[in-house]
Amino acid sequence: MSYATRIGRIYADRKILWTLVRRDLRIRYARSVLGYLWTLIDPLAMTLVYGLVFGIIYRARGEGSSQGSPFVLYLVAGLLAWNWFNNAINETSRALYAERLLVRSTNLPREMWVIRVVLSKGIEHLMSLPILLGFIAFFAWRGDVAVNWRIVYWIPALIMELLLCIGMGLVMAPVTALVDDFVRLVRIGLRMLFYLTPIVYSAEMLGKRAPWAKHLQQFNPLTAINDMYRLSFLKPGVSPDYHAWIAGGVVTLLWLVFGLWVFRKLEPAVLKEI
Amino acid sequence: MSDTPPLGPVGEPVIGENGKTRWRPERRANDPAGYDPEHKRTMADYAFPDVPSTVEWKTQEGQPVIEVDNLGIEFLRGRRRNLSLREIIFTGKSAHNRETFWALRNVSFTVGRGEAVGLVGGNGGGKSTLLKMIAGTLLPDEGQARVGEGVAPLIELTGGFIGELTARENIFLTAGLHGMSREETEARFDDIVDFAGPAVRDGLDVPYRHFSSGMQVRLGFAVITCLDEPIILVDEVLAVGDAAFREKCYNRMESLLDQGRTLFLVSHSASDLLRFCTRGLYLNGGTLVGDGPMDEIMDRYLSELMGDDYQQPSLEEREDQRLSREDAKIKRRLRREAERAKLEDEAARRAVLG
Repeated sequence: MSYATRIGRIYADRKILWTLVRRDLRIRYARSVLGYLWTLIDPLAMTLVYGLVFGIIYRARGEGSSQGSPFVLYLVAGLLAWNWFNNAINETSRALYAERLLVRSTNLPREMWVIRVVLSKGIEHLMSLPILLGFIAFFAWRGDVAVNWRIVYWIPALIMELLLCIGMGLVMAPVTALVDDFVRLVRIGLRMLFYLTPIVYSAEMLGKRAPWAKHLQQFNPLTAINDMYRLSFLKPGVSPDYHAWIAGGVVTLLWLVFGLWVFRKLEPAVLKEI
Repeated sequence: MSDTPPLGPVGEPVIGENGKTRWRPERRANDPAGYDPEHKRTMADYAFPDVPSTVEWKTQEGQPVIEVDNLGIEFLRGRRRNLSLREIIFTGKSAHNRETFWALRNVSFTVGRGEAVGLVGGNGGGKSTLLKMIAGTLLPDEGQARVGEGVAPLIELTGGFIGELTARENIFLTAGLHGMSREETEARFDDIVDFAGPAVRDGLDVPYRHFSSGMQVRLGFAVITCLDEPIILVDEVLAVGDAAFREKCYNRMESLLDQGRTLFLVSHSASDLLRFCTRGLYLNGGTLVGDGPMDEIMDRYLSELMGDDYQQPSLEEREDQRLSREDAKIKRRLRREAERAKLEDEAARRAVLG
């Protein structure tokens, strides 16, 4: 089966995909009393901690660390996107094994088990965006920032992160199903990546301290995604990091192609094992 | 009438070669309407009408719906579930037994529309593996299994159900996973629940995990058999449930066969296989060693399996068994026809009443 027919099959079964996503959300929100609040509490708690450590203890603020915007706002804009990425990669690495009963009893394009996790995490991400809007509104009301038209860059940010998570998830899911302790490796990798991504600092600041590292970081698609989110409230004088956008876009597409290839290679072996 | 040899008048005993009375149809008090053993002996004699069905076929009539071509699949012999990175790194190789074996190899056959095929073979013969590859939940290492139609898999029936959700939500979810839209499911919802029984109806809004295992399987069977898929795959699931429910399942399967659907059945029960299937496939050690009429394949399988403990029936005995099965089949079909006519009547009356 060629990649085109496989993608065609996924598209043909998109209704089923939505059924699965709806089920995920229903289970998530039916089980807990606080429901939707959990979606908000998690990133808010992280904002509090990182804001305390880096904003107050390390006094991160000003032009260098947050490109002239309030540090907390800068932090939230990075954290929310990171949250989606982090949850999606963690969950997709268990996607096939955790649902093995369903995977074994239905003949759906198996990529859907990965895509569905990324989508339901993505919807949670969308539902957490009001936090960012709230912070922007608060600082705009105080007169610290002004919202500009570049808020439309949130759209390419969402698309890019969606494709990135699907591409990486397509690698994680079958490898974890075959190699038990790969999950640990993923977890360590994610923790390192958190600090290698400009979330608690800005790419500018890194560029001043270690210019070579900044160029390397541009190949991390999350750099571009964070930049797209933050441009909405940064001063109009701050120009987009187009190098990161292009590099990130290329890397995202490479992940997607690599993911489809790995998934297809490993699928028969995974089906025998689960 | 038919090319079966004349049996003599119904009810009059005939002594066979083995000195025993041969089987002859008898009239009983509970015979269904239209039963006519004096003149009609085979299904063909009765010329039953086509049963209307909602199945949409993608293949042309007369074309095979399942084409299995040189199929092979290889498994690791040391079937440890997983590799571990720690082992791969520290020992330079995985502690995995690299030896492999072919669970199936060089298997080829085709199945046409409306055929009822039974798979027989000892444990480890590759029956379930073959069924899973036709269902598409295992992928072959060699050759291919082309399935031209949608499949309703009665395999791991309760696999798709989530304990946390209610039975109602689970019905929509599982039907959705097998490609039914919400509207279609709603239209069939009552059918599904009726079939699953009153215990399930009472518990529709209870989380599914509170159901007994029997009720869980009932619901699973009800949902999957309501799918409009032309091919039905059954793997040993008929052994569940109480006798009444089992008969209900059998009846449902036969009415699906009446509609001209294709059935693929894996079972260790000779009576089930002979009841549903006309064609038998015999798998031994992963290769297809027999393909023919179900009763002949069954005989061959049993005599190879049990050796001298199995007494092969004589030609005459086999002929009588065939006739008695056909007779039972005719009676059941007549009952289903009566049932269908009754339902149509009711529907018509309801339509008139508006």
